[in-house]
Amino acid sequence: MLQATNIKKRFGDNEVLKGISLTVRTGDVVSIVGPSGSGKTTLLRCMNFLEMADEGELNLDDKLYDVRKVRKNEIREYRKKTGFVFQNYNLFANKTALGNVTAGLTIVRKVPAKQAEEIAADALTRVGLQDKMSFYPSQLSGGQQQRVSIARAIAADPSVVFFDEPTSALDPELTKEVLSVMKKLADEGTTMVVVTHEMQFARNVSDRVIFMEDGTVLEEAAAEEFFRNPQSERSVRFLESFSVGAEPG
Amino acid sequence: MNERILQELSDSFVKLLIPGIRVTIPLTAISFSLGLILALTVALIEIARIPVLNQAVRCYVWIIRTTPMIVQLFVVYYGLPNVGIKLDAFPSAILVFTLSVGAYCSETIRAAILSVSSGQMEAAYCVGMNYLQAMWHIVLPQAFRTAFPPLSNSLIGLVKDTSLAYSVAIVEILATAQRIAARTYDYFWLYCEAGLIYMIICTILTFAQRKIEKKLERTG
Repeated sequence: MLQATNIKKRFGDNEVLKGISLTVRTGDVVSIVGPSGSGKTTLLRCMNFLEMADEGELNLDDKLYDVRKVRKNEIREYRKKTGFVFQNYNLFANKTALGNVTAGLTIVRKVPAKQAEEIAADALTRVGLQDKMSFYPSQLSGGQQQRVSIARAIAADPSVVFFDEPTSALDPELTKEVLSVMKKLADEGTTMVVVTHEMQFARNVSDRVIFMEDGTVLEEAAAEEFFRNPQSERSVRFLESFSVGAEPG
Repeated sequence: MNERILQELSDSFVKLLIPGIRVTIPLTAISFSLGLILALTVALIEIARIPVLNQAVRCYVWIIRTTPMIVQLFVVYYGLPNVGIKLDAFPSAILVFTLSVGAYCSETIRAAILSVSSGQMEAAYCVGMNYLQAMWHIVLPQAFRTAFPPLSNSLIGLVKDTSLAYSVAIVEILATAQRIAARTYDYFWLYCEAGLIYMIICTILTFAQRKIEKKLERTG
């Protein structure tokens, strides 16, 4: 279980996160949606210490991390229990698909090479890339790269996987291929926090939706509930912007 | 060119090749290896902006880049004994060449490291690596590919710069050529032949560089 409490972050005069709290239960898929600049990505990055929040607490699997006092080795422990998928993949350019997945196992967790390769092959199979294991990132399509990065994130069996707009750099066809992999993971019980603009995914795959606006959580609800009956005027307007020409869902 | 000169050149070719193999190549190899370690250290200090050390290495780079290498050689070999530090000619030359490689290549390496996207570091952190693991396993291998061509350039430059060791009484290729010519008075031919030896060494290095670059291109 992941619990964030009162996360605050400012960049200079700009208060990006104004005290955000959220809970992600084991097996839950939580989508964070909202307009650009609402602080979604910053929140996600703060929840993995890629950005250091100014204030707040994180509780992962009953271990408490005060962001103001957390030490470097505690951050590494925390990260070992999480996975992170970037918008632009950030695959290790000097490693093959297999090498990208084994790196965290062999280098960080000191898993023997052979065993690491088996785990990595298994993870790559789960994302449907069993026949691309020896390919370098530059030889793969965007969708394939993102699937490798998902395999990298899930290989060590993390408590929670963060997705930062995982399909924003992809065309609709590749988006579909990545989303179907994410749906499969969700169905297998992976705990996921997903910042996304894909409303179909948020509605159909996630259990809960968090709507952010201007550094605050404006609305939090079960996914179906949020889309059928948005509570705030702002979320109604936000959802309308997606339904030009077609009914959402 | 008459027969006598031809005969003399073919005799002296081996005599010039020997100091090439026994002096120029070891001098280059040792200085360049040590210099690269120094350069990497300097580059990492500059990138991490470690206080005091950062100012110190920038001062060092500044001194090396703004003074001629032959002056540095004279200071170390002929000057240092005045303040009680006596180094033989060969270690003096190694010291000066190492410092030079360290200063110039640190800039190359620093730029190459900075050219690797910051997302690579973040991704490495996200799989649980610490700074050194991320640098060593992810960033540096990628930086190396970028730095390889300019570093090869520096290596070839160093091969030729080792001829400056002549000025501190190291008998390398040029000094050997001069000694033979002093006896035969064929300065023109012998100095040309000395140049030829450098050409051969540098040409071999250039071919090796091309080969390795091709190999680096293939991965990724």
